[in-house]
Amino acid sequence: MTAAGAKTEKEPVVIVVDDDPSFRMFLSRLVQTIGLKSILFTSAEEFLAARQPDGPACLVLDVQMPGLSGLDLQRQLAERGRPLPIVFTTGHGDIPMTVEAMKAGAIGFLSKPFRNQDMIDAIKEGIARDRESRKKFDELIELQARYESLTAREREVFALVTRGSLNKQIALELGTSERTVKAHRAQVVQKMEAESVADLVRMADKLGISNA
Amino acid sequence: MMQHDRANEAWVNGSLRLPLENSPDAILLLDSILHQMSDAVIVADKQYRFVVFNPAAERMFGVGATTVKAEGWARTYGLYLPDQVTPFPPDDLPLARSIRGEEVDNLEMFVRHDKSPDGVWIRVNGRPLRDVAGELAGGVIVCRDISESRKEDAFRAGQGRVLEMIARGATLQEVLASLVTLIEAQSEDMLCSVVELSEDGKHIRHGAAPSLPEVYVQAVNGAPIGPKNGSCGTAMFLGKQVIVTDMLTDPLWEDYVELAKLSGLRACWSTPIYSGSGKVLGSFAMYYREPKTPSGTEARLTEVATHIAGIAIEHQRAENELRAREEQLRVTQAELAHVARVSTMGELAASIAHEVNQPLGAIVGNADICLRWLEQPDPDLVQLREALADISSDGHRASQVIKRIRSLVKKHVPDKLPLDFNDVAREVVELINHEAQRTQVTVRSELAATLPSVAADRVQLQQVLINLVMNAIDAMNETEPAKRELLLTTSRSERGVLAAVSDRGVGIDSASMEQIFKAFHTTKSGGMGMGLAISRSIIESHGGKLWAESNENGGATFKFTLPALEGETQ
Repeated sequence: MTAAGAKTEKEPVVIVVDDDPSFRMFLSRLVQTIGLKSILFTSAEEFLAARQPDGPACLVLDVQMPGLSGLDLQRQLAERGRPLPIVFTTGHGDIPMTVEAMKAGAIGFLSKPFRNQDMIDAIKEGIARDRESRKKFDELIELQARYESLTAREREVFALVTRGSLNKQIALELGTSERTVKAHRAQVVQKMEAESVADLVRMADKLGISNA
Repeated sequence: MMQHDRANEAWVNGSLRLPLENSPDAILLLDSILHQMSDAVIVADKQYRFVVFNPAAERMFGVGATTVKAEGWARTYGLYLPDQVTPFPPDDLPLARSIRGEEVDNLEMFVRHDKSPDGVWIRVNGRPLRDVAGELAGGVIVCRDISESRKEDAFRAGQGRVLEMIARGATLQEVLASLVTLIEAQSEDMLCSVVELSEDGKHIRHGAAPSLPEVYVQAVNGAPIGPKNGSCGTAMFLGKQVIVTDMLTDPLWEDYVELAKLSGLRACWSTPIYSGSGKVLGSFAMYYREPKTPSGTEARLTEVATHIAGIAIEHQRAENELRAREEQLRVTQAELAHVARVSTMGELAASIAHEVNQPLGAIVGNADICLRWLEQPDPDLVQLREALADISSDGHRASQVIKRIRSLVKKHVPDKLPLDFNDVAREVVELINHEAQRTQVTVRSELAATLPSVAADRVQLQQVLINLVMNAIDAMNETEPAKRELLLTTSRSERGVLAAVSDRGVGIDSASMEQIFKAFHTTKSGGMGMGLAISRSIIESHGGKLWAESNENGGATFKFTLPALEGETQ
């Protein structure tokens, strides 16, 4: 865990995408009052073309915009595999629209005008969630890097160990000695920086290694 | 006898032939006919001496045969040209022309002398008379009194004129006044009036009485009808003719005798005027200044008068009813148009809410931030000022939106003023912008660089255009979003402006092309089906046309025209 934990967290940022200039201005002002930084975009396309934030972020998104709508953007981000927490705002939201947004994982759906505190709460929750998912994501990247460092035989052993096989059984399956298996196993534990078999099983689960 | 002989001879040698030539019986027969016939027959020889002058001629011309020379005939017998004042020129007299060998057919002449001071109209036919050798021997004329038939013709023509007035939509008062004047002209000393029965069937209403004293007319107007209410009041009450030969003694006039005295009227015969369905509409009355009992001619005049007055009053009432209904229809249409407009606005509600909530959201949020800042011990006044300025401008923005919507929703009295249709098109595009965004429709407008002005009601045209645009958006519900395009064009047409709204939607099958313009025809679950019907009536009320066409590449185009203001077509 040392590598991941050592990373210094980047500054959280609130990304505002709204075609209404005065509303963008207001949101940036509001974000400022809670001591966060905001980046403003006038359209979904403009946001997609920009560099994605390094640190934890929360999107504040107008549902109705010319061109790509807020819901379209939400879908596209999901397809890119990096879903950001989204707080939707709308001038006039209908129920189906709200349901669609929430199903797709939106933090909130605020009808203009809304209470500032509701927006602040939603933004804070969004940042926290993103920080969490970013952590998980970073961990996964780290795990994948460790997994990549295993030899083919070590990966086989890893898979069989996490399936709950005994060394004896693994040796039989791989057609090698129990002793060799033990050596591989020690390598796996060390390379994966696991503290226990249970730890290895969790890692296998996160990596999506098939137990079939 | 000598006269007759010569006459007979002339006749025999002239154009006429008797079956019993030269027999004494024939001469007697001829003499008898000449004496008894109502047409005047005059024969003169070539020296202009009268040979035959029958009794009817004596009556017609006041005196019998004289020895006056032809030059004196016009004066002696009172012969005038149709202008009734110019003595008939001697050479043109039909008898003179006949003697000279001419044939005269149907010549009209006016005759006035001491015994007929009012004069009579006669129609004259003349023929030359020749002797056995065929030499001119004299001339004969036959004259017929056509005063009655002329009068009858004039009366008929008068009736025709009154009926034409009715047909042309003259006011009831004008029609009745002409009718009364016409009837009065048919008989001397007779005064006439037409009164109407009020709609409640209880009172007399003045119709026309151009010759009756004003005091009398005023007293009668509004008087009640009843069994003892003068002539007209009683006639209308009973529904039958009332003949009062002396108003000063008749019990029906007991209550009105002073009025009769004051007006100088004595006899009054009143006959009810009926509608085609037998309802009493009013009454026609004849008055005289002395006691009098009616004769046959008056009965005929009364019949004509009541008949025409009935037509006139009934026509007027039908017209009034029609107008009342038209007015009612107009009011209803206006209300319906209002409802339809409001319901269109209802369909637009989502985008309107968006437009208003956008600035409201910023206002409320900024105000909240300001309040927070003010709670701090040392608020940043620059930031506060900026936020407050934003609040103010957003407030104005919201009010602009509301103003725009109000002008569409409020009840509206149409007012046609010169306007540029492109302005209307731009306003509508702005209004539906959010709706188009929401529904992912791309709106493209291609407006003519310049358009002739049209005289039109701005709000009504907005309504039509919004309706067509909203329909177009709805029609593209099933179209894939990338292809949802709405095209709004304006261009000059032959007579003014042509506007078109095209969609890429489901289109309209040819069978429905006209159906869609009928009221309550709808394909939408929430629609009233009034939009297109009202739109068409609005465009037609502007002198234009609204129709639908199918696009070649799918979808439909709605087009309408508006005529340019006078002198604006080029």
